[in-house]
Amino acid sequence: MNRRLNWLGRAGLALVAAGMLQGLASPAVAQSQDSVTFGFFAPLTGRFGANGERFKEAVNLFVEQTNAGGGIGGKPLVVLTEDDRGEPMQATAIAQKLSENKDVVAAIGSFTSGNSIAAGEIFAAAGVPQVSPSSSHPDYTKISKFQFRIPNTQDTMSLKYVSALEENAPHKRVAVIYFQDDWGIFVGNATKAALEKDGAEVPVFEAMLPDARDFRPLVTKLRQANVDSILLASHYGPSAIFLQQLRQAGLEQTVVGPETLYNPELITLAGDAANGVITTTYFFPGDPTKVAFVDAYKAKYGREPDLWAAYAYDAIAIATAGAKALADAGKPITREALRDAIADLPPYDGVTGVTKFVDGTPAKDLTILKITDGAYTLLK
Amino acid sequence: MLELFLSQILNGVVIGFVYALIALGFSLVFGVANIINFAQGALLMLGAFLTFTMVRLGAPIAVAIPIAIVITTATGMLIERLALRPLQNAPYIAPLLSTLAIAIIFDAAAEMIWSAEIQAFPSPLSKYVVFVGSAYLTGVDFLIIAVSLGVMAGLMLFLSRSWMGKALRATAQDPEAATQMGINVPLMRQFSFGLAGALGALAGVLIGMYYMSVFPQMGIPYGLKGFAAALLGGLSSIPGAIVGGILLGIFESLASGYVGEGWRDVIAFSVLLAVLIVRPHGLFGNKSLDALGGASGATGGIPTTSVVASMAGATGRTKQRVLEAPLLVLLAVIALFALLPVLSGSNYLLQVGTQAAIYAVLAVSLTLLTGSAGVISIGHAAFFGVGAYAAALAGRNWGIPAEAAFLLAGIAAAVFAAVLYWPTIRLSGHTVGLATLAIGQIVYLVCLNWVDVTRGPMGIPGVQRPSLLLGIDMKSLTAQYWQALVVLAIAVIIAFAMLNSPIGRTWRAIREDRLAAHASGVPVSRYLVLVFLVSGFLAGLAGAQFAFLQNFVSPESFMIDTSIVLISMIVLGGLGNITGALIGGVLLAMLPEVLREFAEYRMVAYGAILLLLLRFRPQGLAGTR
Repeated sequence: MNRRLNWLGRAGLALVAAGMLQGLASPAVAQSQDSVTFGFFAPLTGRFGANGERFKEAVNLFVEQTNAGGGIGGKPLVVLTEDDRGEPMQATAIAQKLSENKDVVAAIGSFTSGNSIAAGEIFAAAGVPQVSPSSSHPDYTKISKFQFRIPNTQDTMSLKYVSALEENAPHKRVAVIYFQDDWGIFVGNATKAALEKDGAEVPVFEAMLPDARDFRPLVTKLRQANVDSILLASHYGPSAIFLQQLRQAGLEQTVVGPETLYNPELITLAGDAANGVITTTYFFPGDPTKVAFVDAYKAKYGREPDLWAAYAYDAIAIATAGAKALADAGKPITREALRDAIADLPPYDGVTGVTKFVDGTPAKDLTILKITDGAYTLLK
Repeated sequence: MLELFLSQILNGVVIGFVYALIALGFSLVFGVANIINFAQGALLMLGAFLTFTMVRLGAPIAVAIPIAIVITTATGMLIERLALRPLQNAPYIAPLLSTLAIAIIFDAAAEMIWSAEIQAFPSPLSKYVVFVGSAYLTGVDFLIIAVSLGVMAGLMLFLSRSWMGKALRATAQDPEAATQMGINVPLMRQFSFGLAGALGALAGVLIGMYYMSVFPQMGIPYGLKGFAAALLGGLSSIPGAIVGGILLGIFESLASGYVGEGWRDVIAFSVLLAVLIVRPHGLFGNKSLDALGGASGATGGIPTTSVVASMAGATGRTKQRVLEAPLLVLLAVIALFALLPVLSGSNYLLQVGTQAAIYAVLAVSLTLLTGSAGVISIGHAAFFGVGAYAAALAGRNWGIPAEAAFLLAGIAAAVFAAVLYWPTIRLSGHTVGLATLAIGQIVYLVCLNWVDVTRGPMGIPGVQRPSLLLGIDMKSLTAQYWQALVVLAIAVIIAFAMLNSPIGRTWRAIREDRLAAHASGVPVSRYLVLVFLVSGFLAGLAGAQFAFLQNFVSPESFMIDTSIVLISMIVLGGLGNITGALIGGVLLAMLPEVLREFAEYRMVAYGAILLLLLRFRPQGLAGTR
């Protein structure tokens, strides 16, 4: 018995080892030269899996549409998809893998600024243009001229959140609550500074830990601090739970938050507690000018696209627009040429607004929404 | 002021009962099978999601909950049958790891079935709210408190009055004697897993109601709190689990209220550590049998505290062939690998190769600590992190040469390891595993929160690869790969020299039987501090190499997941065996990359491979030394 098991174990090990050698020996499936190939990487599993999935859906939709419409200068668009699980170590390995595949002329990704920066160093060295759908950390585009992003940087955004709050809620005493990640800390500090500069007091300034789900001690604190309104710079999941606990405690202050609170799931999760929340966004499916994207997405996936889907859709669309510009001019689509083409694109009117890059970063206007009777409605 | 204080205490009591429910499941399994069941969090998630699915399909919640509990109970029993029973004769640590592998498979499968998203959970009772001072109680809170107390009373009655309960306790105390009395010991263990599954499902459902939402990754964070509560209360004690849970809740709530929301977990885990220093057996723990290696230690021919001894008492070194390459062969293999950049121009291969070398150094470092000296460390990523941060900060602020950066990182990690692991010297058996897990979590949370120094979650970008003292530039990836191999060679030489000296023999003696080692005059504490220092130093070197390779350091690289991967590596390779650590380290470091082809099935495949390897080669690929 024992001997047989050992034999089985050894056979299994041999299989694993053989698989490894094979897997590493052919790191990339050879692509035909008759296509335009982009790499796409995002956390498709793990803690940010839900966001990565939306990215992937939008990217796949765009590829389908582009190829149905004749591809890029007659060549089909091909996207190689990789999962980085939100771990920097995997992001760097993916960046090397994509960089060394000579067919890859651009990379789309990643979701978190941390992974975008870790991968960005490698893309910069290899000269691969990188378009991140969602990274808003100021350091990201400082890596090199090869980095682009779809949202504004966090510092300009933070000022917009503060003005959204000041225009729509009493703001003598404001609580700032932020999510403990690179984005949240930055936004938390920047909004606090801006509020204090405008003469508001910030008596409560607290972080939400990534795994925290119990906010009652925080709510108790808010009750005691007697604030006029709350600036909530957090993601929709924990925010929904926070809103429920806040409203359970009978606190009725207006809550204003950035685009992370713009997600239909927030309303599903928080129910009535979501009503009255004011949020900003680049993308709103109720906007009649975005109806083509919204309908196509709905038809394919059976749900409304969210902001993340819109970000990724624009990210790949802009890289494709660059490639098309090269194809139309009859130039070969190389990494270097594509970088210049993306940087020199005329203002691109996409689903997240008009993108015109200055040092890799656009400056866009925001839409302000309010949740009324369980639905997002346009406030401005 | 007093009102605020009391309100925060009340907040803590409410969440504390939630933790207590999770802790009960751990305590039960630990008491009976003497094993930490890492799959408890997965069972909790399963129970919650089954209820969620049935309610979504239209079943009333009162019907859905009992069905979910029955299914989860059966799953718990199945886990015992598949992951534990076959490992009766395997090293003690193997079943612990196989519950971990199962947790990985469950989490990944749940993400595939239910998507990674957070979902709304039905909670009809949460509409009813009562205000008490600045705090409030909802109908769910009353339900949680009633259920926890009911379950506790029921369990205590069951264990003390019923035949089945008495048989369970007999199994816990002495499985050998229980067998002789005609008790079906494997069945009792299976039963305890089933019961733990039922408790897990119940806790999952109540947590779902409390937060009005469920998500597939919920098992790990709530599971961790459950561990901490159980450890605080004294692991195998039922009232201890409840008291531990409530105390943990109160500490957290006060920390959040008076220090800041971001620091609540740091403070909760630090209090846990402090309690362990003062009272190693927890508040209600029973230390009567622990001196003999825990309850099941008394069953073997010779009582042992060894991590390589099996649950049935056999020592891990019997009946196995051990593959142990001589030092020169190991160095020759490393030298062979150094040819890779010459043979292939692939940067991807070099990147993965460098990462594998880093993991190999970590595995060597951990196999000294856990494999050789027998201190189960599930917080090893902490020292890896300390090394990485030390090198990154030194490089960024002072631009010092590579040798100095490595030395600094190694020393910083060694000091941290000795200081932080000092409290674990007084702990024994699996308790050490839980304590080190808490330490790992503290270091991760401090990296996340101490924004002034570590830049928190923003990480430290732009870490420069230093040059060598002679002025040789180490900026290229090829240079980094070679540098990593040199670090690996140094680690192997140090580890080899120590393991084959009287020091290594003394470590193994401490692992096999700490009491006997102590009795024969070995200064156990001093030898343990030495292994903390050496192991920490090597982990620090790996951390520095990581910082230089990535050019970017951020806390998410040093989470509990990394510690778990590390412990898997050394168990798979063979405990205390350098050849084994190298094989395990390289294999598991490359596995996620190789499995890329499987896309979303990747983590399921990873867990399954881990489980199968443990099943068929529990003493490790190269064998335990």
